[in-house]
Amino acid sequence: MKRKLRNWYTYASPVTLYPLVNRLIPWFAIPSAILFAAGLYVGFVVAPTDFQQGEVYRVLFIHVPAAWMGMLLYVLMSVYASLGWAYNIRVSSMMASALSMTGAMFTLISLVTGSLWGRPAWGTWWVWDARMTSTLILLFLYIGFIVLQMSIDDPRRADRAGALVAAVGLINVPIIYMSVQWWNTLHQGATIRIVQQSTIAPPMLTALLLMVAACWLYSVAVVLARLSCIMTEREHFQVAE
Amino acid sequence: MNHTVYVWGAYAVAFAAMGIEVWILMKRKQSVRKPKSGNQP
Amino acid sequence: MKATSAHGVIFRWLIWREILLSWRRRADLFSTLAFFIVIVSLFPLSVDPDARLLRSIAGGVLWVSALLSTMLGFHRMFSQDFADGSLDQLILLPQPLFLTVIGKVAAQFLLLGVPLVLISPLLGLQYGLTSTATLQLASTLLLGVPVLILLNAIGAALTLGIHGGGLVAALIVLPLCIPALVFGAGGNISLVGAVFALTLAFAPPATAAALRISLE
Repeated sequence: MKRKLRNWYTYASPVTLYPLVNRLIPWFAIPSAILFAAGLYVGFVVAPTDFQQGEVYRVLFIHVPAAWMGMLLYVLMSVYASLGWAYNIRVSSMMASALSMTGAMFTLISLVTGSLWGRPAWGTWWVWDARMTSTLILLFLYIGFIVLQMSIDDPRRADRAGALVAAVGLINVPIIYMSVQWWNTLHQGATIRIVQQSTIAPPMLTALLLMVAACWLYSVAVVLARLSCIMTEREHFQVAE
Repeated sequence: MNHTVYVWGAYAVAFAAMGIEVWILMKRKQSVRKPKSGNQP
Repeated sequence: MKATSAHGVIFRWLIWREILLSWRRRADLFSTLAFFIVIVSLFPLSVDPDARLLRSIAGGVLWVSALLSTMLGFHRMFSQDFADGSLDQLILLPQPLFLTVIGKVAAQFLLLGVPLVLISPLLGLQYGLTSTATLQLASTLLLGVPVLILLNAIGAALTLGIHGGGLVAALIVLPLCIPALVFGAGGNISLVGAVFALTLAFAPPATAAALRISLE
C-alpha cells in the first residue's frame, strides 16, 4: 500500500512524468478522432430535422461541447494552478498553463459557432443573452490569465500569479454570471434561448454526448502534448529521441 | 434561405481552430527537440 | 487590548502617510479626475444628443468612465513604494498585510474616489438626469468606486515591476469589475453594496497574496 502511494508521488517530478505523458497522447488522440467521426455521423445522418429550426440546429453538436469544454477547462486550470501554488508542485502549474490555451480556444469556438447559429436562426450575429455574454467574459478571464503569464519572465512568479488570477476568476464566475443574468432580465426584450429546451430526440442526445466525449479526449491529448512541450522548455532535461 | 452555409461555416471554423492548435503544437514540439543537444549549461 | 490599539495606530498612520505621499504627487490625482470629466463629456459628442437617449445611457457612461479612470490611476498603486523599498517594510509591519492594503485603498478612495463621486452629480446635469436619478447614480458610485479600487489593487500588486503592466492589470481586473458595473449602471444600490461587502472580504487578502508573489 505504501509502495503504491510512493509510486504516484514520483509522477510529480517532470522527469518521471514526461515519458508517461508522451505515451498517453496517442491513447487519447486516436479515440478522439473516432468519436468525432461517430458524433458527426449520428448528428448529421441519423438525427432527424428539427421542426422548428430545420437543419441549422445541427450547429448545436459543436457549439454546446465547445462551451462545456471552455467552462470545464477553466475550472480544471484553476484547480491545477491552485494546487501547484499551495503545494509548490511545478508540474501542476505547468498543467494549468497547458490547459489555458485549449480552454480559450474552445471558448472562442463556442462564441463563433453560437454567432453563426444565431444569424440564420434568429436573424442577428450576436445575441446579448446571459449565456453568450457570460461566455464572452469567460474568454476575457482566459485572456487575462494567458497574457499575465506571458508578461512575467520568472516562471515561478508566473505560475503563482496565474494561480491567484485563476482562483479569483473562479470565485467570481458565479457572481459575474448572476450579475449578467440580472442585467439580462432587466433589459429583456423577447425571450431568446440559444438552446431550445424542446424535445431532444434520442439520436440528437447521442450525437451530443459523442461530440462532448470527442472534445474531451481531444482536450486531454492536446493539453498533454502542450504539457510535454512546457516541461521540456522549462526543465531543460535531455529529450531522448 | 441557404442555411446550410452557416452550418458548414461553423464546423469549418471549429475544426480549423482545432487543426491550427494541433499544428502549432507539433511545430513547438519540433523546435523544442532541435537545439537540445547543444543546450548544455 | 494593547494589540488592538497598536493596530489602530498603525492603520491611521498608514492612511495618513498614503494621503501625504499621494498629495505630493497631486498632479496624478487631478489628471485622473480630469480624465473622468473629459470622457463623460465626450460621449454625447459621439451620439445624437437627444435628451431621452442621454438620460438612458447616463448611468452606463458614468460608470464606464469611472471604471476607466480608476484603472488609469491605480495600476501604479504600489510601484512608488516598490521602487523606493518601502513596500518591503510595509510587508514587515506588525499588522496583517491585508489591513495594510485596506489602509492604502481607503486613502486612495479618500483622495480620488470621493472627488469623483462628488463631481458625478454635476456630470449628471450634462445628461439631463433628474435629481433622484442623480442621487441614485452618485450613491452607486459611492459604494462602487471602492470596489473598483479594491479590484485594481489586485491587478497592481500582480503586475508589479512588469513592463506594460498597466495593460495586463487592466485585462485581469476588467472582467472582475463587471458585476459592480452592471449593478451600478443599473442603479441598484443594494446590489452594489453587496458586491462591496464581498469585495472588501476577498480582495485585500488576494492583494496581500499577490504582493508576496510579486516580491519573492
